[in-house]
Amino acid sequence: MKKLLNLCFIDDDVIFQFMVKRIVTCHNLANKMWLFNDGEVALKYLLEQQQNPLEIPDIIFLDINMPIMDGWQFLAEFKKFKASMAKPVTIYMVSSSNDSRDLGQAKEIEEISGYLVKPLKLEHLEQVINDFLEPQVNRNC
Amino acid sequence: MPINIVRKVKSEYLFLLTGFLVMLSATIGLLGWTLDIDVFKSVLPNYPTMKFNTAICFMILGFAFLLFIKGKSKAVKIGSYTLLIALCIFSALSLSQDIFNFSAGIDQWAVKDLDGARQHDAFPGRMAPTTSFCFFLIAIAILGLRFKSRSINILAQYIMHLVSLLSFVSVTCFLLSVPNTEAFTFFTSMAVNTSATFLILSIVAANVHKDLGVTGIFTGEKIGNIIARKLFPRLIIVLLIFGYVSMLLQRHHFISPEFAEVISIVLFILAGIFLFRGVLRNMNSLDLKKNVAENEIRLLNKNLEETILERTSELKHSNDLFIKIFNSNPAGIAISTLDTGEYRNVNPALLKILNYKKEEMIGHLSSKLMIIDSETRRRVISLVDEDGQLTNTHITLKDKDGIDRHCLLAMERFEEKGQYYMISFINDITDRRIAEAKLATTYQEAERLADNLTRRNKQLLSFAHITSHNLRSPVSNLNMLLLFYKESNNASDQLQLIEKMDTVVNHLTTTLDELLETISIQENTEKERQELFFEQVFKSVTDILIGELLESKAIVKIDFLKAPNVFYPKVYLESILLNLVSNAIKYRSPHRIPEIVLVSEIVNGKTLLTVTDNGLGIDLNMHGKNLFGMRKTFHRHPNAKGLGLFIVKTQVEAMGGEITAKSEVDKGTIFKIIFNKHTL
Repeated sequence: MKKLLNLCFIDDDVIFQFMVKRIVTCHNLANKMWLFNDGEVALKYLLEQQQNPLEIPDIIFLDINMPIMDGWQFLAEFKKFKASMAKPVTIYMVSSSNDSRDLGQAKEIEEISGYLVKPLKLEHLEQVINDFLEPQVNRNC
Repeated sequence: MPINIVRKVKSEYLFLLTGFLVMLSATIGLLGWTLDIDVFKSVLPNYPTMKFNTAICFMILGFAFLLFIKGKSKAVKIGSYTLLIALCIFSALSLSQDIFNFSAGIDQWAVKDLDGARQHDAFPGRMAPTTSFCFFLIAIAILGLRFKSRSINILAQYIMHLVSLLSFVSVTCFLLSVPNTEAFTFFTSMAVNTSATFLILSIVAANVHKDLGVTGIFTGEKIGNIIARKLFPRLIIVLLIFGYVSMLLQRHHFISPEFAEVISIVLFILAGIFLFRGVLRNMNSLDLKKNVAENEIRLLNKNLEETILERTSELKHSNDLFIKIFNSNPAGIAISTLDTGEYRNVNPALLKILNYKKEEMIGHLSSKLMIIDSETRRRVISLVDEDGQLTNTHITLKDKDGIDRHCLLAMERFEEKGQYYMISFINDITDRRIAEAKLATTYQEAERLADNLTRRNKQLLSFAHITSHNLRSPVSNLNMLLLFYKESNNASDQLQLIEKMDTVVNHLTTTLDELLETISIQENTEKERQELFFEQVFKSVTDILIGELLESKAIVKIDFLKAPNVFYPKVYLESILLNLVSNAIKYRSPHRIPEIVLVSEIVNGKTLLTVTDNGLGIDLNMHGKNLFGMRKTFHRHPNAKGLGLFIVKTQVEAMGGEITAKSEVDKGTIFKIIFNKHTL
């Protein structure tokens, strides 16, 4: 039996949220799942729950282009308190942009474990979850 | 001349010495009489003595001569003249006793002449007539020397020579031992020391006027004078020796007097030959020296001539060179007087620059021809006066047609025959100036183009950003929804998916419309402009926003007095004002009554609009780079679409303007729009 992870999606696109919810629910990919409309709301939640490992997501899927606080700004703020988190958080960038500038910028940031280009499909999610559970396999690749 | 001064000093010493010598001779005579020493009186025993009166007279004469020579003040001169006149009178008196045969009682007034008595003198103590005559003559001669009249000077000189002659005869008689008892007693009766004193004094005194009488023969510097000086003393000595010898032979009767004469003549001729030979040698050597000197001078002259020729050819060469440089120089060259600015010479290049003919410039003043204005000329001249030259100074000259020629001027001052001139080098840079101006315009144009390009580039980048985020996102959503739809076998689920797809398609359409709108704005930089009054446009905008304005109770202040209008597309200005004012209301602070201020003004010739509000403000550190981005929102406002500022920016930039913002969270925001930053 696979261990189920806590997943978090930060994206302002309601259609994207609808689709992600549908995939995760249908394939029973997560233990818990959070959906946030922008970086600021997500940041606020994480700050509140930082000492509560059960309520902290294992993987965050972060959109770049969002109102109020976009993905980059969220990362900049998250960096300030990630050390005081009760457990480590893996972050994946998810964006419709295949612009090389966005990819380049993502590589510069050590908190980012990977960059996923939309549309986000089932196999992408399964891959990320497998990598998280069996990091050695990933390394051997 | 220094030599003359030396000679004058020398002759003055000679005069003084002679004066003292005369006085010494007199002193010896006086001592002889007072102490009765025979040697002092007559030099040789049994010869005529220098009488006491004679000694006194010599004392007076010597002293008078000294005063005469040294006398500068009137008193001394008068003293000397008085003494000489007294001497004249005394000697005349003594002489007259001999002529008129009487006794004036002056012969032995002081001392008794025992010797004279012993020698059977007719009048013991009386001076010989020759002596008194000589005193008379010499006193008169000395007096005559100082007369202004030249003929009297000449007469005095000859009188002096007469004294020399008389005393010389006396000395010669003594030397040849002519007995005083024989004939010519008139001469021989003079004592030898007396006659010697006379001889010396008369010869020396004749030197007061060297050029007069016989003295002139001996004193000159010409060859004749030199020969005379050399020959004369030898001649005298030879004559004296031969005379003496022949006289001795005759006296002792070795030979007859006639034969003695013959011998004397023959010997004289022989001696004469030797003397002449000496003179000849002397003259020859002098001639030789002269020839050598002449040759030297000739050689020097020749060298000098060669040097002059060489220099002349050098000068000619450098003159030729100068003329070549002057005439074929591409720079204009002018030589003009410093004070008046009169052209003395101008070269073809200058004539070409200023469009004059040569004769129209040379001899004319620069100020009269109006080539240079007097103020500029004054400035240039004062600069040249400071350090003698001027380099690369910008100057504007006027050519014959009065057209400005921009020139670079270099100047140098020089002097010739006491007159100052300027040589001016003029480079016409008018064409260069025009080219420079063109270059500057081109450069400005290029800068403007570069600005446009940069802006275009930014637009492209921002467009790339928009397509990758705002277009790709709905397309990827559609893909996913379509995938779900295919996999779904549930009708209600499929319907739900279709509804979602509809939303996405609507969204995509809107985004595409907005993008196309943006592109059309960006492309249409030549959108028709018109004269717009801010106040009018503002009025139409507030009409649209009247609902929001009333609801928010916003206070709007305007000041369009400083720049009431702008040349701009009407739709854009409306859009700009509408977006900025509606933003100010939309993002107002819930704690304050909104206050919006619109001010237009002219800054650096550009029209500037400032829109200030007291709303929520934006953290520009965080959102600065996204402020004017498409679909960028920073507040949780239901109507925040992230489009207003994006459109405003696109419109402003398409029209060559610039929009900037300053903001502080919870204080307010200031937008500044320069409408025509890149246009005129």
